[in-house]
Amino acid sequence: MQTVKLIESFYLRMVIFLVCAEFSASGQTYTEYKFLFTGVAYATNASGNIVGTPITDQTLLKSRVIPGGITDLSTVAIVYHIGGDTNDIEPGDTVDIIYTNSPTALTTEFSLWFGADAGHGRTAVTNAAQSEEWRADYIYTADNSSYTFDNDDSVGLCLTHKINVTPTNGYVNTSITGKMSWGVEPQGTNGPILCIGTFSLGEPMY
Amino acid sequence: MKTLICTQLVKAISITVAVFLASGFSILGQSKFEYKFLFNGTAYQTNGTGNMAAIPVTDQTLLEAEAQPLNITNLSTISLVYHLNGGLPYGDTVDVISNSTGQTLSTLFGLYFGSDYPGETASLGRYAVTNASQTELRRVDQVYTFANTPYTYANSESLGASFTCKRFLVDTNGNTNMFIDGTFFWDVRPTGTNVASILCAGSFTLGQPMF
Repeated sequence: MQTVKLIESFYLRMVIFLVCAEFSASGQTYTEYKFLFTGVAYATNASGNIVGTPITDQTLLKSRVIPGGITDLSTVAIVYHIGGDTNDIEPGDTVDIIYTNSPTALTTEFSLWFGADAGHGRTAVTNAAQSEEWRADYIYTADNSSYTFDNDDSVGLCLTHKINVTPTNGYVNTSITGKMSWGVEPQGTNGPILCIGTFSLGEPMY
Repeated sequence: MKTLICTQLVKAISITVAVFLASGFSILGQSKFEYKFLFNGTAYQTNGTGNMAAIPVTDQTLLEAEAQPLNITNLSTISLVYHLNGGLPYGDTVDVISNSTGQTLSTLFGLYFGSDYPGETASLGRYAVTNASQTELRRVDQVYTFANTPYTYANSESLGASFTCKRFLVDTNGNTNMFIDGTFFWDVRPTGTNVASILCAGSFTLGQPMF
């Protein structure tokens, strides 16, 4: 009888341990999630008409990695990186291109800055629990590519909605959505492009 | 007989004057730069219990808020309008105007720097997309606000953006009609009776042409 109770007790402890361990593992904080984007790129065609061409996160990904010699798109991903930029006056999030086997950014597609910078008179709206936030982020692009260009000033804005802004153990399901629009300067024989679309987060990566 | 000739002469003069006046109105009709600004959106703000609250906001909400500091209580005497080139050389504005005179009483928003303005010497690198016939434009305008009111904040830098689409159509009378719409958002820092930050987001179109 005592042996049965001992086994029961041991079994219960193991279950509790495993359950705790499991929650602890799933409570891991991710800072990089797949960036899921759907939008339209507006440009003036050869006939002089404005045409809207559908673009997605895969369009953006291809436009950055193929010129860099990466043809196997399964090895790379475009990710929303929470706190991707920590070295500026106002740290901000970034949209980066990474190898799927490493969190290190190969390049940055967008930087989302100054949405809550008091020095510029800007403010975000955050609830008391710091778990939900609305902000108007300024979009910066730093490289010349089909959908970005090197510019010192912001090239557009993003209306960003974050839920579980400060993830802690148990707050693993970060949700960030946004509506973004940005301009691209004329390059080569192409005229300017204006892109508009929405994004959400996909699979957590790192 | 003389009376009949006089009557016919008066009729002819009346018709000529009427035609002249009508053509004058036609000319005036070509130059409408201010259209009612129709806005529907949401103001996000943290409420007294610390939760995020979403409050509907329309053009009438904005008009009421702007009328208070102007000490105007009869809202039927004023309108909120989208003013094409109201903020030259930088861009368009959203103004409160007198319905009777068209006079601008205050400016709620400046929609500036969506592209380089004529004569700009230090380019910000912003580009609009325009068709060859200049009848359609798409642009990302920066939203500026100038005064402290329930839904605006006096700031020297932009506080949001408008993804603006403009179309211009010349009708068979030669009048140019504007069709402008956009997705619009801006933030408001706490001032005066505003105790918490606000972020407003919505969309707009144009209504009745005014002046």
